Amino acid sequence: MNAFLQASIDGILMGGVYALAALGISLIFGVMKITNFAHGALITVGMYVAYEVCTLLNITPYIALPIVMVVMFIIGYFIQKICLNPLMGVAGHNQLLLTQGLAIILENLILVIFSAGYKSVSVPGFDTAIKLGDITINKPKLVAFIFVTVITIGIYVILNKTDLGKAIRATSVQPEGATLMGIVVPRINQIAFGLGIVCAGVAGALLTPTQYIFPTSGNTYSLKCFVIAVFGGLGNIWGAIVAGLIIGAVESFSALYLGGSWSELVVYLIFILTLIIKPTGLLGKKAR
Amino acid sequence: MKKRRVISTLLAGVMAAALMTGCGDAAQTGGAGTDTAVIKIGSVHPLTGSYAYEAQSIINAQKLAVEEINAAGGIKSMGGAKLELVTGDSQASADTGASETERLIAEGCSIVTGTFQSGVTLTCMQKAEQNEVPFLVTVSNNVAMFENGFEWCFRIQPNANVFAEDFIQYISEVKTDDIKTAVLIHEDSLTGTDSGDIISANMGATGIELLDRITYSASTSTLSTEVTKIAELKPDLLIAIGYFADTSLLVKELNERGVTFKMVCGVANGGISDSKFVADFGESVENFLDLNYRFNPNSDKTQSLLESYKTKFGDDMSVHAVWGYESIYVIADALERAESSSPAALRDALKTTNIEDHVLAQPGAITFDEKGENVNAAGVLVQIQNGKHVVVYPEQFAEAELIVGK
Repeated sequence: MNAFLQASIDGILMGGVYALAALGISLIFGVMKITNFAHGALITVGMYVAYEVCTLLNITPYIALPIVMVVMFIIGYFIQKICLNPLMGVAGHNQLLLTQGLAIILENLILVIFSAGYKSVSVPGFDTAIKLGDITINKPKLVAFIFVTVITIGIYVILNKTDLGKAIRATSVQPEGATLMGIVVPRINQIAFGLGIVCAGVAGALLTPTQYIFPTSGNTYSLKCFVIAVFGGLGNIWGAIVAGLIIGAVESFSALYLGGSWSELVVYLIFILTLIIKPTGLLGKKAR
Repeated sequence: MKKRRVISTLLAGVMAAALMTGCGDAAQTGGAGTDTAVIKIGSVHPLTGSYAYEAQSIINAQKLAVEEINAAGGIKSMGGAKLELVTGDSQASADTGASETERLIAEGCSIVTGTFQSGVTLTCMQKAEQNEVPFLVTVSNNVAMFENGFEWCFRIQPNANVFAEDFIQYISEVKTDDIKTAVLIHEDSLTGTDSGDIISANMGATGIELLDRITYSASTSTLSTEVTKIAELKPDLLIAIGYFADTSLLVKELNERGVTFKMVCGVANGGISDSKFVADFGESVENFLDLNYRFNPNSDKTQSLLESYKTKFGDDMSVHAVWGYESIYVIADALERAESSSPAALRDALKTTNIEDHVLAQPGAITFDEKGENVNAAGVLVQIQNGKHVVVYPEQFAEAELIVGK
């Protein structure tokens, strides 16, 4: 029973970080119908940005988070402006290939700048877990979960309560219509992509206290985030969150009861079943 | 429209340039057959991807050996012919590794070395066999790849069976009576599973009861559930087989929960045997053991090698790198005896290799059996003591006494 409870807690906490990264994919797809294959590489970029800020200023990744967010937003904004805006409106596979290429470029750029060595960030006082009887809670993951909640609510507020959000939603529904209403669609796209990349970068930064940083460390999360985004319903924020938590827990349970690479197998099994049974995802709307 | 034309012109230019360099290479290769002044040695390692750090350290060590040999007058039986290391990037992919091996052979390499990953090494070995060019494994411990009857392949390092068998033997010899139970945790790729199979089958011989065997995927982002299982079983001995990142993750989560053991021992563990691992975890990994391949710490040759590596690359020489270093010396020795850089002559010379003077912690000379495996390859028990790796067993190579039970 304890093992079950422990696995649930571990899974849900980890799922929170998956959810945030997947939220980025979902947001970008929802607005621009771009499948961002560079997401994993951008998670890695987020890790390195956090690492650099932490070592330069001698602070923890949590305090560095605002800087990471700004940097990641700028990176996302300009990726969209320079690379993706010229490709809007052409066949989807072009953008797919472009983001894949971007992933390779980013990965190698990191390799050139930071070399291949493993880097780590330590947070004072975080090297022991919180003990509640027999149950232990990993502090970095707990804090990450809290940040994920706050940031998700933030993004929800931006999308639903501000004029910017209204413009983003309008663009996602009908880019041409939005243009006619005086919305500068390319700019909205840049902002949306920037926000999506902030999600990836923050997820990366929040992972730094629990994970080694190396040029491909984001790749572990890349495919998983796609699975989550599709499972939850591409373009659906709450879908991504719910699916993230479910996948985190499933992963944890399969490690407990099945072991080994089974956890990855089960995750992809869910992905395939989703595509067969409900291609629009858990909370996705019916296909238009 | 104009933009597109500029791009297509640029592309055409790049393609033309690529074609021209292609021709240049071909011309050079044609000439290399007759000119023995430079002998090319290929080196295929995953320079990009998760193992880029390890790959770079192996290549650094190979470069160091090449420079040493060239500075000492090159291959004397061939009029002082110089060695040249030509590197290829396997990108941690079996297909890319094979095509890089093909490229290096086409560029005139007399022998190819590599690759750090068993899955990649195998496809490279197949390419070398097809082209009848010798292949010398730097690091890869999978057993099966030398069971295919290959004629052109050689390996200096101990394979996974040797590691696992040595582990069982050494642990039976050094364990104390209070170590009664063990849990084996390993990543579930070919490497981890091979060793895991042998260990779980032979644990009975050590007199220690194996409570559970836990497997995980090396690319996992969390091991908390696995740690939960270990914490509930409370074994005296934890046996861990894994790479750097996953073992670090394991230790991090064990530390957080304050789970400790009377003994922790890795088997060819990429974390425990790494100096960065010790630097990161400090006191908490003190007295951890690893059954691994190692340079012979009691030889002067090793000590000067470690120093020159550190001076040249500003980093401690990793245990993997030693095999890159030694591979070049094995090749140089064979070239010296073959008096030729032709792949066939080199292969025949490698078959009769007998090197007494080496930097490896193995009893006896480096010499190959009919499969191409180093007959005397062996592992040693390495322990972390005062933040440093020291060999503690067998006594022939020991630098310090083994400490059991903290």
